This record gives sequence, C-alpha cells and structure tokens, in this order.
Amino acid sequence: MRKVNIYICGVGGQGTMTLGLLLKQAGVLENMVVTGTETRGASQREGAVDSHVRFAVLEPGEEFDERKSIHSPLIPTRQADLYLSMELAETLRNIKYVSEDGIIIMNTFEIWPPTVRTGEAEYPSLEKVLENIKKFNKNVYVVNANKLSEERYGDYSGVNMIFLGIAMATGKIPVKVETVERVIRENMWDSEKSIEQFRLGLEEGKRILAEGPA
Amino acid sequence: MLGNEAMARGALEAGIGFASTYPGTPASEVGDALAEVAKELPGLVFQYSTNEYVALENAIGASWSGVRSLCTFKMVGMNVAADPMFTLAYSGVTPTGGLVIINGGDPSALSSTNEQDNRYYGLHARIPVVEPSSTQESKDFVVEAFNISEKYDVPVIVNSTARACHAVGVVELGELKDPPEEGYFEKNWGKYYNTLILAVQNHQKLINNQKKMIEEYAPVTELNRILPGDSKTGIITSGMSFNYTLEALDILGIYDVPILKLGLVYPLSPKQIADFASNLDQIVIMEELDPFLEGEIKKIAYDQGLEIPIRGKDLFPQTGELNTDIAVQVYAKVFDKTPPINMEELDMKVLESALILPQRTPSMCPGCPHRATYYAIKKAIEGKGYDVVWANDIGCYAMGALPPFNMGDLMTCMSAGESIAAGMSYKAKKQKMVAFIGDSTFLHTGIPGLLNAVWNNADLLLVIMDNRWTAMTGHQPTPSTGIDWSGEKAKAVNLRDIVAALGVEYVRVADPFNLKNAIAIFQDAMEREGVRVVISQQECVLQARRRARALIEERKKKGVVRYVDVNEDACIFCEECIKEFGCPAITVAEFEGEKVSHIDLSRCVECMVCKDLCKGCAITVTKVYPGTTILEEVK
Repeated sequence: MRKVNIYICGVGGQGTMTLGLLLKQAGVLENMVVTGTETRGASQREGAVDSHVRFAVLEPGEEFDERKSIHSPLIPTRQADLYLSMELAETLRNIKYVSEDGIIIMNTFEIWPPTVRTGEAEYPSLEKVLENIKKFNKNVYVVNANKLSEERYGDYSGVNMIFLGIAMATGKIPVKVETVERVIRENMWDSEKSIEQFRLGLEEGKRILAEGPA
Repeated sequence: MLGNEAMARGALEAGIGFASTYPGTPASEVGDALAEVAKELPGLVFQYSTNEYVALENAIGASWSGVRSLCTFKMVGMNVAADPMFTLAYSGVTPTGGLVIINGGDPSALSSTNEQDNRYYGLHARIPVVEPSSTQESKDFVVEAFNISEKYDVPVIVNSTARACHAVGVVELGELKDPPEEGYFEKNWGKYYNTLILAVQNHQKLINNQKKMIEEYAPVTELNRILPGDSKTGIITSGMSFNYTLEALDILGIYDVPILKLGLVYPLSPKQIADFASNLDQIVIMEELDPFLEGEIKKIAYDQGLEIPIRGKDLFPQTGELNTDIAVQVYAKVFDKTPPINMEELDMKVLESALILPQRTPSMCPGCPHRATYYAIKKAIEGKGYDVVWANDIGCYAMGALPPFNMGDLMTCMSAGESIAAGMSYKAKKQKMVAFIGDSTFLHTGIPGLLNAVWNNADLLLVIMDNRWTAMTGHQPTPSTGIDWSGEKAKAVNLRDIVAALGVEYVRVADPFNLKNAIAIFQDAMEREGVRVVISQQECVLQARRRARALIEERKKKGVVRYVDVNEDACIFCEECIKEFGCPAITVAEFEGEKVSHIDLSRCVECMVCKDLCKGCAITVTKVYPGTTILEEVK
C-alpha cells in the first residue's frame, strides 16, 4: 500500500483549508483511502494554519491490510511527499514534515505578523528562509502566486487555484487532473474562472519545475 | 466528511427528534451541521441553547417525552452541564427516548482554557463513554450509543477529541430514520422525582443497570475489537491513540502485536481484559491525557489476579496531544527497535531554523469592533496613572491580551472574569477592576455574576463586547442577534434592558466606531465607582460584510469604488495606526525616501476608525466615480 502525504501551510484566510478539502474530495472520487485534517477554531485569523492531506493507494492486485494503511489525520514527521507553503516565512515553521526526497513549493508572498509591523520582530529574507529550508530538503521551488494572480486578475483571488495547479504539476499528487477539475466545478463559487486559474497554475508549475530548484 | 458532521449524521440515522447545543470548538460543527438540515426534517427540533446546562435540560425534556435526543458541547461545557447530568443518570431515559451527549475534548488546549479529560465524568456519574477513532466510527458509534442508552436506561457520552472532530474521512452512510412528530411524557414519580429514598433507589437502579451492561454487553460489543498477534506484549488503546499505534507499528515494521481497541472506554469488561491478557507477559496502554484506562485496567487486574506489568503513563506524556511520532519513540523502546528518525536531533535542528521566524499569533480581523473598543479604552486611560486589572473572558476579544493592547491579566472559564474581578475589588482596593465579556458569554452564564456584583456592592467596570454573534466558534446566533438557528426572525433581547433590570444604575452604550464618543464614555466610566456597565456595540465585521457583499458587488459593477488611503505628504509616520491600533490592513511603505503608513486595500474593510485616530489627518476616504475623474472625499 502506497502512502502519499501532502502538507499545506499558510496564514489564516489564505485558503489552505479549501485546498486541503478539494484534494481530499478528489482522492475520494478516485476510491483511495483518504484522511487528514485542517486547522479550525481559534487560530484561524492571521494565525499559522495548516492542512494535512493523506492518501493510501492500493497497488494492482494488492489486498487491503489495516495495519499497513493510513489512520492518523496528522502526517508523521518527515513523511510529506509534497510540502506546499502559501507564505514565505511559514514555510519554515513545520518544515519537519517534509520527507527527504519530497518536493517543497514555496509562495514568496509575505504576510507580516503584528510584531513585524510594529518593528519588534524582523521578517526573514528569502535567502535566509531558503538557506534554512535547504538544511532539510534541497528540492525547493519558489513562485509568487500572489503576483501572478494580481497581474492576471487585478487582485489575489486566484492565488488558491493557481497554487493547486502548481501542486498538481509536481506529479506528486496521485489523482488525475480531470478529477481535480471536476471537484473545482462542483465546489467553487465561480467555477469557470477557478478552472482557468487552476490551468494557469499547471502551466506555471511546469515552468518552475523545468527551471529546477531554487 | 468531517468527524463532527459524521456524528451529526449518526444522530440523524438514529432518528433524533430533538438536538440542542451551545457552540464550542472543537465540537461546534455537530450543531451547525444539524442546523443546516433541520429545516428539511419536520420532525426534528433543533436549538442553539443559551448555555450547556440549559441545552442538556432541554434534551432531557425531549428524551422523557419518548423522543431520541442529542446534546452537544465542548468538554468545558460538561462542567456547566454536570448539574443536571448526574441526576439524569439516576432517572435514566425512556424506552424510545435515548439521550446521547457528544463531548468535544481538546488535548493541547488548542481552543480551550484547559485540557480536562471528560472520561472521568463517565466514571463519576456512571454514564457509559464511547470513543470513536475514525470518521466512520464517529457516525456508527453515535447510532450505537442511542441503542445502549435505551437498552440500559442511561444517557451515553460520545467522547471525541479535537483531532477526531476535525479529521476528514470517507464515511459509508446508513439509512436515515424519520424522527417522530410527537412525544408524550409518561408520568412516573419514582423515576423522575429525585430526593431522599427515591434518589437512593434510582442510584441503586443505575448501579444495577451498569452491572448488567458490564456482564452482558461490554464483553461482546462490536465497539471493541481485537487485532490478533503472537507477540507477548499486547497493546490496549482507543480513539486517536489507536490510529497513532497502528501507524507507528507500521513505521517500525512490527505486525505481530495483539491490540485491544476499545470503543467502549467505560465501563470495561473485566472478562474481556482478562481474556486478552491471558497469553501476555506485558500490557502497554496508549491513551491521551490522564491514565484513565490505565487506572480502570489496573483495578480489573487486581480483581482478576493478573500479575503482569501494565505500563502506560510511565511511557507516554500526560499532557498535550499525542501523535504518531511520540508513538514511534515509545514503541521503539518497548519493542527494542531503532526509530528511523532521531527526534531529539531533528527537533533541535527545527528549533534552530525557526529562530529567524517571527511569532505569528492570531489577531483580530481588519475592521474588528473589538480592536476599536480596546483602543478607545487605552486612549481613555492614557496619562491617568490607573493601576488596572484586566479580567478577560472567552471569545474573539480574548485576543485583547496580546499586543498592542495587553488588556488581559486573567482568563478562566465562561463569564468567570466579571466575578473574579468583583471578588478582587473587595480586597485589591488600590487597583481598578475592568472585566470584558462578549454578548454570547454574558447571556451564557454572565447574568448571575453581574446580579451578584450589584447585590454585593462590588466595584468594577464591565465592558460587554456586543458583536451580536457567537463569532469565534463560527457565527452562531445569540439571543440578542434577532434570528434563530435557521436564520428566521426571532425575538432579540435588549442587553441594556437586561443590565438595567439587574439593578445596574450606570449603563452606557458605546459605538466603538464612533471613536471620540466611545473614548468619552470610557473616561467617564473609569472615573466612577460601583458596578458600571458599558455595552460596546458594533456587529462582527465578518458578518456585516457577508450581508453587505451583494451591495458591495453591485457598487463595484457600477464602477463606484470607495477606498481608504494615506495622503503620503501629510503622514508624519507617528505610527499611531500601526503600533497603537495594530490593524492588520495597515503596513509600512516608502514615499520619497521617507517611511509612511500604507493601507493594504485587499484587506481594508473601511471601518474608518484609523481615519479618526490619525494624528496628521493623513488618512482619507475617497469615492471614485466611473468614467469620470471625480474624486469625492468622504468626511
């Protein structure tokens, strides 16, 4: 049984919950064992939030074995095959989840916490963050999905779907692109626009992957 | 499906005719899910209750009318509901009116003020406790809990922890059962009138029923199951710990350990425990928080003459949430394996890297009226030299304890702030007492506390942070919102009338968005003595915006844009709006080589409080009309 773990983190309000739930639904549609969890409640607003997405895939002819399946909604340390971070500094907070051969996609968009805005704390530079991430895993790809969305749509409304597209482009998520598009159609408010954003993300993902790690 | 939604589904499959709740993370979504569907089920009566004991008492009434009833709340809510719950266990339920209580536990206190282990309530009140591990079980166990309740004439607690409540998984659904339209209360004085010998008799009945359950149900229930194995060390576990156990053993490559997975965690079957232990040299118990199962199993071991080591909390932590990583470390020790990761080394490495990370605590939203209230109070006491004790309470406004306000010296439980401050006021006379309470929290249990303060002559200022909703748990309505659970118009109580009726002579209503006025009110209120109440009234910005969304869209379509902006020439960069007010929508930018405040339009919601507090009058509100160059400044 192949276990696939996807970790998504960001700041409350960025849509990590939506991303996580869409991926889980896609997994359900493809008959996989699916579990995971999202940050809810007190830490939503402006706080650090995350989403755990876990799939267990039966190999052809393999029989289900409870003892070898996934059970915990939380990804065990060092077992995330794909580590998606929607905010620059947040990438580091739970970096212990990323596996040694996993892929990290980092959005370089910065959301300053109150302590940074008031000058009490310093916001780390991209170079510093990258340097620290690389102590854990060197397969790190950077993108500014917010800038992409702003250039295209005039605001940040597309960030989420663009990010989902990039994530799919890594090939680490064991669901079909069509399935994800179906889930987007069924769940998103302006689904045609969302699909367009998702496809933009797919292209962007292919581009940054071709460029190689940062 | 979410664990909480699965439990709600289970209740519907059990055919409940009544459900009540007071919202609280991590259990809020159980009630919210029921509220969503209750309109389509004419036989189901749903209510958001004012607090947990009221919720439970309502559910008891429905159960005693012969209708299956559900009551849900978070674990600290059980303290509030404990009063009726203990005597409910004496009286029991009815043959068609089972009663199930869903309890949302919170190891690690992610959204609570403690991490109490409510399995002890089961032991204390002699109420059976079942604990699901997966979303599937979350649904199935609720259905079975109703069966147990009716069979053994006792309420049943479904104990789910935050992680199980918020876990997402695939659930195979069962048939929905139509709730009965009507019930009827069959009078039975001996059963329902608890005092003197009647109470003692009911107590004995409860004990007898439990004995029967332990003998005939506990050893055979499908809530418990055994994963067989040949190892001489066996594991007993339940809930989330079962999941962590399986994954940890898989990581360590161990597949021969027998596991007794308990779904019924109270009462236990001595026979089942003894049978499971019969071929073992050692038992390891993995459970979150207190050694509850460990204690129960050790009691059984003594009675059954089991002389093997029973290990639990000597291996696992008693505080905080457990996880697969902890399980890997512990089981590696127990089964003499090398864990694949050196956690200590990794934790050090993570800690070192995280040093460059700024702290990210949750904060009030842009446009949150609570921020404006805190700011107004801060300005009202500026330079007065007051020594103030800030008693805070449960809700979004608890974030007032964080910078830039630091107005939170204590927070205990729902509505405790006002009475603790009142108690302090008799002795800590050099200090001024200010207590904060939300509208929902005030209506939950705050009224008796305020009445007591008036009656016993306390000296405090109570600020009711009235944002019209139970905002933090997901915007459930309160009795002052003016709507019921389904969004239909309902009677809205007037907080000012309630406060006045309690005998408070000094009551003022402030609008925190009218900054000058609010500051003046707080200045006056701070100077006086005795019990003073200021109701700071302004709707939660998220709800207000949600309702205004259509209007804003309409405005955008027409091309009319209103925006708040900083006039860079006028900005003196005093940082009042950034450092003192702390709105997340205000950041720093550079203008002609100088630092200036900048408004992030993607986050600004135009509350316009910053415009009023701006010292250089640099913040402006501008309206742009389409197709023209007309820019109109809004005063």
